[in-house]
Amino acid sequence: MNQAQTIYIALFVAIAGIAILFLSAPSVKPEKLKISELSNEQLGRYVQLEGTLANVSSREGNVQAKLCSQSDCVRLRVFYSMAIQMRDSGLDPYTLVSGDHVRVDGTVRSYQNELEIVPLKADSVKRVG
Amino acid sequence: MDVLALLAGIVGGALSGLVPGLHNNTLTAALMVSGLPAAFLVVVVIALAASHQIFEFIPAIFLGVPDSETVVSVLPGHRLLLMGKGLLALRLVAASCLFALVISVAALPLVAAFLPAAYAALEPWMFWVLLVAVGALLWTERKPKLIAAACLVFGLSGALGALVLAVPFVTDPLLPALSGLFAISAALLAMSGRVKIPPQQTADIDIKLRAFGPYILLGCILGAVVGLLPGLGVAQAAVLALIFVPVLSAQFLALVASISISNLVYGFAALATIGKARSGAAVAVRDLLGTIDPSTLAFIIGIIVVSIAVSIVFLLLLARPMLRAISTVDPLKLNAAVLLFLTALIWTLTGLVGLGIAGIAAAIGILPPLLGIRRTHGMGVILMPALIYFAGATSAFLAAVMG
Repeated sequence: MNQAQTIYIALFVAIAGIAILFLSAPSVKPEKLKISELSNEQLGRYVQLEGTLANVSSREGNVQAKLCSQSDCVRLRVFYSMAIQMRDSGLDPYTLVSGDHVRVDGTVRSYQNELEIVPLKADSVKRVG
Repeated sequence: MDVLALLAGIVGGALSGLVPGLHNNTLTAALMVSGLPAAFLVVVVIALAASHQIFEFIPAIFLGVPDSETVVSVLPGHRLLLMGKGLLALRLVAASCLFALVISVAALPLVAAFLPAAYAALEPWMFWVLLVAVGALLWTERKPKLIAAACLVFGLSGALGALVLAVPFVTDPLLPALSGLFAISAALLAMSGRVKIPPQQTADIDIKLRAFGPYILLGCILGAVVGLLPGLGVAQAAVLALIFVPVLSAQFLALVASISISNLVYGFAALATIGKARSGAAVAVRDLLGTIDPSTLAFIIGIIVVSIAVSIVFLLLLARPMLRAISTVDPLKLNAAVLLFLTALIWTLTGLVGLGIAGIAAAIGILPPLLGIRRTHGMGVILMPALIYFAGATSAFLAAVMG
């Protein structure tokens, strides 16, 4: 195989691969989990959690709360930049209050040795029920 | 406890530095979920990051397969090895790292005082700063045809990075993306070329500080600058230096080595002064400790100094035996082993989708050498997502891609 052929094949693989990733992106769905099932094994994963908010607070534009089931809680954190985008697209995170029942699609992270869920998109937090 | 953690970190850094494609962030991520005490983990993570900075030059020089930070050191380092001057390359890296460490630590109080004001001034302009930096990176190719080729590679790697870092296809997208772009593509090209490594000169070599001093100093300054800016790393800083300085191969290696040490030191200074984590290790330390006060920063710097000093001693002790061994190894078998290892690692940590991402990245990664441009344009994989973030378009991008 000569150099020009290698370049064309590499270009084809790269462009086709990126196109496949682009087209398959909408089919990436969060894994539905119960809050009690969360552990360090889920770090970095895209999950969907549902629960009731408690201890809702906002500081320097970031919104923070506990997302709780009947027995377990995990921290929900909405960073300022995401909070602004969420406000523009329907759900204003600054209006969330303790007792709200919400469904969150987001990635699992660890902050100060505690697990938290961070919404992935502007429409990733929804009031339910 | 602290000594044990320090040793564990140095050994971990040696492992992640020596194994092509295994980034210290991968080991750090694994450690963070190990359940070990936070005080122990902090020391391990910092020592690991520091020791990795030294040992990562070995695969770059010996195998021509770097990670994201040593990518531009492959050309000068591996070229010296192919000239039989592997010992010079290793000693130059050791001396540059040591002097860069002394300079960076000595200047730390001054730079730490200056960082918050500099960041506050830069933050609103970050998108434009990054855009100019990207433009300058592409412009280093000089000729229009080569600039067009660089734009193509930057665009493809940028599109890949924007997709895999935004859409949660896998948990650790940088592992397959960077391995494919730099390590797998380099191994594939090396296998097709059948490069033979000549016997190495092992006589004592004097390194004249006067010849390398200005490059080490420039490396320290550039390391501090990229320690402040997100998305920009050691590779970009070194390539930016090429705009202003016509750097010969050995000097360029000294420059890259000092940038990596300065970037490590000032990355933690940025965490302490502006609260921004610019590396996987800094993110881990922030997660473990929360805020970093000046006394904690002094403790972090102490761990870095000891880890780098110990790592340099080991590097120098191992230099001659490694050089004797490398010229007896069949490069085809060596690169095949690297490929097999990376495939197994990516498969284990990110599954089939990760392997697919690595394949796409490898296809992009083999383009620069074939098109006659620098491989560092593949860093679009990190720079493009940073540009999207600072344009405030992350959410719009995700909505457009994921619906």
